[in-house]
Amino acid sequence: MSPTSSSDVLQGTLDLLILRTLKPGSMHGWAIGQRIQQLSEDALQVGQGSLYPALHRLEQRGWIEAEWGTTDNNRKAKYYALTKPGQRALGEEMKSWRRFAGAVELVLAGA
Amino acid sequence: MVVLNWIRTRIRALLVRNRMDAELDDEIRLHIELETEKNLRDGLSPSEARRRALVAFGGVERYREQARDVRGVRPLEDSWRDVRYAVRALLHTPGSSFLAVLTLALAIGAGTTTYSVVSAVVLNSLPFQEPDRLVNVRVAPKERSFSGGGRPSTGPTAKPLAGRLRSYHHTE
Repeated sequence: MSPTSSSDVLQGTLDLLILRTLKPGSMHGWAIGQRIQQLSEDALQVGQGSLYPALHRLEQRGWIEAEWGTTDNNRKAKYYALTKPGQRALGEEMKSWRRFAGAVELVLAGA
Repeated sequence: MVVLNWIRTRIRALLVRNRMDAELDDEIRLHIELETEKNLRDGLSPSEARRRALVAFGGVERYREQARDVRGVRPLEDSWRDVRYAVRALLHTPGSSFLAVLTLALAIGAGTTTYSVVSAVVLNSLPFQEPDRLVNVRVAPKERSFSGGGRPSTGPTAKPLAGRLRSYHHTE
């Protein structure tokens, strides 16, 4: 079902991916997982269950906030949205991730 | 701001623990449903669709616990459970519980009393310059011995003696 090259998402990275996914607007848990998988062209497998501890952790930290709403076919769902501090955090997390990825790339290219 | 938020969520988590648990259950249930429906659209049989949804989720109970841990009330919940367990255990053997409480009560009582006495007699010395050289002069009628009776010579009784008792440094 999943491509053999798919990688499990590390915890810190999962937070970053969730924040980035929520940037355009609020979403519920399942949709966040689907979106991450879709955007990464199925390369990233998010352990679906691990989304929820991560979401609650981010909510605790004040980076996202949750609100109950209804889905397209009228079902009760908890929608998560970025907060102001969350947007700031996303910017910083993205910068530090790119620094990290760039550094690894430099080493790989130079070796 | 973040600290306030942290405290507020924790208090809320404690007060409305059951509601938050129910909300988390709703969230997880919806997730499994949506995943099952996606699998159905992919042409799987209903039972297989649901099975794969549960597998993809990866252990409902495990992640439910983790999500609850994030709320940070687990230690409080656990210690409340400990207290209830202790009370139940004590009620189970009322005789020995009563004895234990009685022993503690007597021991604490005795300890407090002893300390109060020692504190008054030994630790807090009398409010005089050299308390170890203090004497009490009593005035007694001629026919009675000095061993007992008589009134302590304080105030008016002591005044006339003041000048005459030369062996004493000071009288009052």
